Amino acid sequence: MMKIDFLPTKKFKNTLITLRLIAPYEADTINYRSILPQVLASSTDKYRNKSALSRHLDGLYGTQMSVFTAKVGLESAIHFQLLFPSDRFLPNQESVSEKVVDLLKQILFYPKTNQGIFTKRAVEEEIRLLKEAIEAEYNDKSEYAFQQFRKIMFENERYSFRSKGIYERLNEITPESLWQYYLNVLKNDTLHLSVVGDFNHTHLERLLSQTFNGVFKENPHHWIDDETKIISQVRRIQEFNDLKQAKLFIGYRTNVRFDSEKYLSMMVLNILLGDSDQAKLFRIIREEHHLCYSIGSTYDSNKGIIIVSMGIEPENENKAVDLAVEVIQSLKKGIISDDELAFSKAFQIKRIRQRDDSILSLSASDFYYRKVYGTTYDTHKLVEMIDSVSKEDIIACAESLILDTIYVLTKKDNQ
Amino acid sequence: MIKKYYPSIDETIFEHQFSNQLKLAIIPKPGFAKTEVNLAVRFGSLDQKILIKNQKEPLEYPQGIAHFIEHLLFESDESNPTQEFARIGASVNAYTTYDRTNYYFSTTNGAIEGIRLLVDMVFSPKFTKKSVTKEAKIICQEISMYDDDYEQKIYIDFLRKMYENHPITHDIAGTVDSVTNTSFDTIKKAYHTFYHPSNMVMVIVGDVDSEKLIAFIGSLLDQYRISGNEIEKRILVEDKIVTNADFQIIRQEVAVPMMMMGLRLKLGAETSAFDQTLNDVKLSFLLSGVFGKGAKPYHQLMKKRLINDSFDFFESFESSYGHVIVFTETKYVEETRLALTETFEKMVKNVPDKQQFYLAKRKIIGEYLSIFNNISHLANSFLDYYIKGINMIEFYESLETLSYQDILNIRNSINLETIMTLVYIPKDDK
Repeated sequence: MMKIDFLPTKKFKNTLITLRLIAPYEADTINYRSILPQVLASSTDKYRNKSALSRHLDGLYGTQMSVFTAKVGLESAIHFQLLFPSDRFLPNQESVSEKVVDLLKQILFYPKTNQGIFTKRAVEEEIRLLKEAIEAEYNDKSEYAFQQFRKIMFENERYSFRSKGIYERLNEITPESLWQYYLNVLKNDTLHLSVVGDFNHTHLERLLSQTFNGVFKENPHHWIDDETKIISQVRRIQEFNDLKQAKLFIGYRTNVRFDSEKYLSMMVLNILLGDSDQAKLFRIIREEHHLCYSIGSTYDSNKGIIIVSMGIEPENENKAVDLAVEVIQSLKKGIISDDELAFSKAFQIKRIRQRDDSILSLSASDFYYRKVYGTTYDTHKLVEMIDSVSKEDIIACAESLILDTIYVLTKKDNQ
Repeated sequence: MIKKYYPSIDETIFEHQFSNQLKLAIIPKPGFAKTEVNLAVRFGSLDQKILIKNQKEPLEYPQGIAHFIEHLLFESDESNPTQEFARIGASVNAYTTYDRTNYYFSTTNGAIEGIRLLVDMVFSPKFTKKSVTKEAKIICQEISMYDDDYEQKIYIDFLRKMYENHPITHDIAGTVDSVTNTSFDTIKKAYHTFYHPSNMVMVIVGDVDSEKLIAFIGSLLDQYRISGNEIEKRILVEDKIVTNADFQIIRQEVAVPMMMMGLRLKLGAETSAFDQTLNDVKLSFLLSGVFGKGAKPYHQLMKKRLINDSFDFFESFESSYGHVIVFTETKYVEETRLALTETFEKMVKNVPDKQQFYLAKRKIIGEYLSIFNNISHLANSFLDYYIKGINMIEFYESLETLSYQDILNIRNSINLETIMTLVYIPKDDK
């Protein structure tokens, strides 16, 4: 029997089946891996177009299908997720799970074709939708600014790409080349299946094994994105646009990643810095100096970066940058009160416990821990580890932070 | 206290009304880590005019006052409420909508201490003149933050086309002027008027001991003296119908044109909150039969490349306002406008797709079940109904009786003469 990750729980009224197709994250295939699952999920031999598929899902008591491609470390994971009501809550105890597995099978193995390849209409339609989604990013100034920042800070790294796709190269995809790539996926990708929720284990295991057994192979994977660079000088870039509030991003690098034993300390540091309502940045820059309304920081533990972001009055730019950089310096010097540390740990513990309350994040965590660490996801152990984080651990993490890029999208000078 | 078990979804609800008239509902969720507690006041941005008992002239409030008070309850010279919550491992927040201000916290530890803090924060405000000046600045920053968000902006601009003189056209946070000029005394008075327990509800969702919590909250509330409720009635009248504003283009710093199109509804004069909400669902069924992902007209619009994944539609069916709005980014403004107008017309003149109706009924069962998978989602959804005096579970169970005839009838509420369109186009567009 093939290996499937099952995580039974009675907490939810739904069951979530996730099918992942995993291969290296490379510039040449990003677009293919973004468009392919959308084309597969747009029409099949049996369900001839999107509206037929959508009606079928509605009929399965509003089964939700989400299809997307995510970057996980230096791997690209195509996701097909189906969330459906558990049989015991349906009128007449109708069984939806069997139909959901069949739908997954239709989508993956029986696409709608014309002369043996994908139809031109389906491929062109998905390219159009993706292009228009990327073009519209400019309408959202915060999102646009973040994408610009990302291109600059990660110039020669794979992190600079959106996993959604590379706009300039979308026209390279044809029904023929996409079909070839599809065959390649079926032959070479790693297939991963997981089921979380309230389900009949034996029944589902048999169904899934019958459908997917022996189709794909298992490859070694690179789950951590450790591409980095030597920073000789901090980059500071200003870009101008017609807006009222400037969007500021400050990027730091660290070698503390998900595979480091210090990564939980770094998470606590990030909360202390900018990821809670008690965070230093929030208190100092918003509450004391009134320089902004929105401010925060995020830690990408897979890549080893902390990004501080703010929406500020354009004239406050220098002051805000100086204050943020000062806050990081103060962490390196150990200016952290016992209260602050306690709050931040409590916050992180709460966040981890809450993850188990959502079927989607529970499923994602389970996958991540099993794959990256080769262990199971254990909330209690994580809580204990966070509880033991000390001030010294935070200082050590702070010391690993190196300022890389400061980017601002701001008002034109003459306005 | 009332305890009721609902076998169809295997959930229990506890309800209680305290002696000071505050209403409470608890949904126990054994096995979940998070508990969320909501305390909501029926005071939103639409409450700008009110008649006080024994007075002849109605009182008017400056725009954004409900939201201003929301900010101020987090202010205190002696202590910092947010920090007090953090100390017990809880996080507290609040938001203001058209019809309410909701204060809530979540925790993965016990809820008791948090409830004590929340009740104290809401029933015993500590803000001063100084905090009014300070928060005014922060709110003005918040207002300008949304100025760069074009989806938000087109929505507000569009409402201003649809309505001439209804507070729904005002920004929930008010304007820089209205906020800067709101005085400490005005705020104090408004607080006193609206923050009365009879004007509030509490909803708790999580792995809690319900009976113990009810007793605890009862003893807690006894510590706060409350005088009588002074609200005679809220003055909020339906705006006159606007028919002369059919098409407008505005140049903005956008890359792709954004289009909003919509129409006003004919409101029923009489109905109860329950029927009102039911009308909203009927209308959403009618709309999804046309604009939903499985609907033929939607599919046609996609096929013609007039719309893309940004396409969205929503309806509001309230006692003093009601409308349908569709949004899309599009490269073909005029063609899309014509096609959408035609779709609206056909929706009213043609008979709705019967199969779509049956599918929508199945789909809503799944949507309903999913609500129970997430503590915050459940608390918020339940509150949406509870604040109107409706039990969410009983409401959903009543949907089983919805008939195709209901969908046919709801078409009468659509006012086709009010169709209007607003488009943001790129500055360099010809």
